[in-house]
Amino acid sequence: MRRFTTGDSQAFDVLFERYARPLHRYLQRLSGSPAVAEDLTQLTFLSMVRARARFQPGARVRPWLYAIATNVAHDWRRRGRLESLTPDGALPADVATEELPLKDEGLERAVQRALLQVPEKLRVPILMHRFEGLSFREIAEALGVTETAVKLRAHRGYQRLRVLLAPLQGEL
Amino acid sequence: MKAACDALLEQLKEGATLAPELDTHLRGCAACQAAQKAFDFSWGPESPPSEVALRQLRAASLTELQRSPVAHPWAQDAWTAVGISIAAAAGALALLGRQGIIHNPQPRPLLLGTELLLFLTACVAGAAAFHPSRGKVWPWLLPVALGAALTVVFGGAGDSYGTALLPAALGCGALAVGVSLLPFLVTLGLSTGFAARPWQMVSGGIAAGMAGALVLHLHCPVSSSGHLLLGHLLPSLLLGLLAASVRGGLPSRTFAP
Repeated sequence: MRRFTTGDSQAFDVLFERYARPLHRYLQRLSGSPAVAEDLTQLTFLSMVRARARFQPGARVRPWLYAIATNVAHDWRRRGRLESLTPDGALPADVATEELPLKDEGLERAVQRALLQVPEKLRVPILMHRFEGLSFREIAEALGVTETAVKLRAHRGYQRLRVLLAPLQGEL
Repeated sequence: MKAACDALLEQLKEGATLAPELDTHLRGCAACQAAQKAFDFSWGPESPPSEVALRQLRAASLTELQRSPVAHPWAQDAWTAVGISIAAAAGALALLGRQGIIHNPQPRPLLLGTELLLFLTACVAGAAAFHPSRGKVWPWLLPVALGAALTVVFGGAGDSYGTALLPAALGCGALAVGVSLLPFLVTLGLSTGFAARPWQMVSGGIAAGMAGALVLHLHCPVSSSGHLLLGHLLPSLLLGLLAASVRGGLPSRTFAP
């Protein structure tokens, strides 16, 4: 990471190889759409490059990258629409509102929908813990909150998810 | 959440076996049973990103890296914001100072000490606004800002010079906001370079507001506590809250913390 902050492209490649797919997977779970996840992953990496000096020496890379990805997804959700990126990765201001296309109503979609029904504040720790394998300490670092707060959110999130998943258990 | 729930959550990993005491806890805790069932649910596979998209993403990122080979440190933004606050205060004093800069009748050591505390507040608040992690600077802000505020409010002689509280406070408040406007706008602009959180923007607004506070503390002769609180200090806090509110609607150039 230190080499990357000085502009070393080989160091960037190492980070890209290690984190591009996991971040895409995370953003796909968070946004509920593979296409959106591609745009959000692009914004995540562009943010990482542009703001690399904000990385604190001695900090861990993974929580920092997941923090950026979470902020990107949060911003996208807050704006309430998907905007196409310009070639240099900027968000154009004059793009019309688009609806996310609904895919088939299969089990996978139902499961994804259950996940999306969990409030973002509770869903993010679950995604990082269950799917990305981050420790609660790393999640706390990524979200800028205490480890206790993260555990509380994850515990509540899992309980909420369990209720939402209960009707699907029979289908598996 | 009990300590055992906490420990069980730590142990939730794919294929992991629970320790006997946690297993006992699990059998008697409905919340943990729900958490474990949700964790163990068979999730469907995700669609991997297309190789073409990954190549495009890598190329765009490398282009960006080549475009800006030198990283832009956060401290540069912080000191730019603080520097503009100080410059705005100096500029305002130069404009107002045709009939004398210092009208505060406080003893000089107290006056300069208070100015120093306000300057220190501007620096710490500016650093807190732009620092990437909350833990490093934020704990310093409250004691420094509170110390400065108490010194301003209780350090005055209490003279109101026959002025009514609200009109005089409004006049000083307007001047404080006017002096702090440029630093406020610069802070807002610079804050779009990262995913600023509301507490960071409150700090940034306070740092900008210190421009007005520095000027008023030297230039205003009124020293009643109510006037100092409402006219000299409240505008900084309001600018902090305004900054947090306005920043929420501005687009970010990057999303790094």
